[in-house]
Amino acid sequence: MIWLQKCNPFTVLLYFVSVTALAAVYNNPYHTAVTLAAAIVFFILMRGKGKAALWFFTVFILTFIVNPIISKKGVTPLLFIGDDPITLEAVIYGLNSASLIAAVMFLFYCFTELTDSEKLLYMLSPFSASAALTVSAVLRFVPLYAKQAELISNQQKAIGNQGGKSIPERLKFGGRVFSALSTWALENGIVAADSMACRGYGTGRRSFYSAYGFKKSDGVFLVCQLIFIAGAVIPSIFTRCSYQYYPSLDFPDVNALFIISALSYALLVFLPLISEITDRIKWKYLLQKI
Amino acid sequence: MTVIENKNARAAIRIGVPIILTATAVMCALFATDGRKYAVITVIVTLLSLLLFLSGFDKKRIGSRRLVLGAVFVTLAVAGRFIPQLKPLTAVVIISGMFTGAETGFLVGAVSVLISNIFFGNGPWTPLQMAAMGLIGFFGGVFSKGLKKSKVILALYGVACGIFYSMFMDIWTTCSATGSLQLSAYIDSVIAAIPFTVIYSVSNVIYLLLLTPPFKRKLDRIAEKYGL
Repeated sequence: MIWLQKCNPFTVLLYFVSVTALAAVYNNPYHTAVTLAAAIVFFILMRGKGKAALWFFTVFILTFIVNPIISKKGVTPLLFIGDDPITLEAVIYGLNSASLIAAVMFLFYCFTELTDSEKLLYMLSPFSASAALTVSAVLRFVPLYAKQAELISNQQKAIGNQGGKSIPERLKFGGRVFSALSTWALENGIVAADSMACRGYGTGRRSFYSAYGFKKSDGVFLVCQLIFIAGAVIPSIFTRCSYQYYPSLDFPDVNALFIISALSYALLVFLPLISEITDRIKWKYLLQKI
Repeated sequence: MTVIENKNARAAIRIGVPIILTATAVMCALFATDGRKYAVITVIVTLLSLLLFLSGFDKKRIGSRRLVLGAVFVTLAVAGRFIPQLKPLTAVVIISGMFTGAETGFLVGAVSVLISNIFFGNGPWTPLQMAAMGLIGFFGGVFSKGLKKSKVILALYGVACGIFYSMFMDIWTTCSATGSLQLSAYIDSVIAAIPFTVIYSVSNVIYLLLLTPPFKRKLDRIAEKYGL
C-alpha cells in the first residue's frame, strides 16, 4: 500500500478507526463481509507474513466455535448436545463476530506496518510532547541496550563468569547481566537527561517539527472519508442498518436509505484500494510510454 | 504542522477536542445502535480519556531527568515482556511509579504497553491495556510511601494489580465476544480467566520482591552520585 504510506498519518488513523468502528457498530454480515474482503486484500498488498495470517485464522476458528457453545439464545435449534441446543442464530452470530475479529486483526496488522516510529511520534506530539519524547527515547534505547547487554555478557564471560548449561546457572548469569545493564541504563539515562537540559530542553517555548505536511491529496482523502462516514451514519438514524441475531435472524429492510448507507460504507472501505489501483495503472501506463 | 501561538487557545484545543470527540462518539454509538455496542464505546472512551490524561500531563513540569528515567524503565519493561506468561512488565511499571512519581508511573505503564504491542500485535484492546497498566503505575506512585516501607504491602499490591488487570481486560473479552456487557457473561469470563489471574498475581509478587531491593539500591546510588 504505497499510497497509504504517503498519506498524512492522521487521515490514515481516521480511516482505520472509522472502518473498524462502523463495522463493529452495525455488526451486519454485509458490513463484516466488505471489511473482511478489504482487509485481506490490504494484507496481500502489504505482503503480510503467512505466520500472522495463520494466527488470525486460529483466532477466527476459536471465536467461531466458542459462541454457539456458550450462547443459549436463538429460536432455531440445529442439534442438541445433551440438553443444550446449538441454535442457528448463535452459529451465524459466531460466524459474523469471528469474521469481524479476523478483519480487525488484519486491518490493525496493516496499520502497524504502515505506522513507523516517525509517524507514531507525529501523532502523539500534539497531545503530549512528553509521551512522544518517551516513545522516541525508548525506540533508541532498545537497540542500544541490546548492544550493551551483549557487551556485558561478553565481559562477564571473559572474566570467568561463564554461564553454565543448566537452567539455574543460566538464570543466574542472565540476572547478573540484567542487573549490570540496568545500573548502566539508569546512569546513562541521567547523563542523557543532563545533557538534554544543557542544550536547553524544557527551558524555552516548545516548537514542533514535523516531517508530514498536510498535502492537497490528504485534504481530498479526508473530505471523501468524512462524506462517506456521514453517508453511512446519517441514514442509520432514520432506518435500522444493524442486523438482528436474537431471538431470530432479521436482515434490515432494504430501502433507499439502507442502500445509501451500505454503498457509502463500501466506498469508504475501498477508498484507499481504489486510489492504489488507479496509481498502479497510471504507473504502468507511464512506463509503457517510455 | 501549524503552530497555534496563543497558549490558551492551544490548551483549549488540546482539552476540548478529546471531550467533544468522546461525547460525539458516545452519542453516535447510542443512536445508531440503541446503546448496545459496548465494545466500540468502551474502546473509544478509553482512548479519548487516555489522550485527555496525556494532554493534562503535558502541562505539568516533570523535568528531563524523570522523563528519561521513565523511558529507561519503559525499555526495561518492554524487554521483560518477551518472557512468556511470567511478565515482569507490571513489576517494572510499579517500581517506576514508586520511585519516579505517580504521573511518570502512568506514562511508563501506558507507553510500555504501546511499544511492546508493536511486537505483540496492536489492536482495539491496546487503549484498554494502556489505561489499565497506566493506572497500575499511577497508584504505585500514589501509595509509594507504604510500598517502600513494607514488603507485605508490596506483595498485596502486586496481587491486587494482577486481579485488577485481569478483571479490567475481561470487560473487553466479554464485550468483544458476546457483543454486550452482561453481568453473568462477565462473571463467566472472570472465572474462566482465574488461572491467568493467579499466574499474573504470583509472578507480580515474585518479581516485585525480587526486583525492588536491587532497583532501590541502584536508584539510591544514582541519587547520591548525581544529587537528585
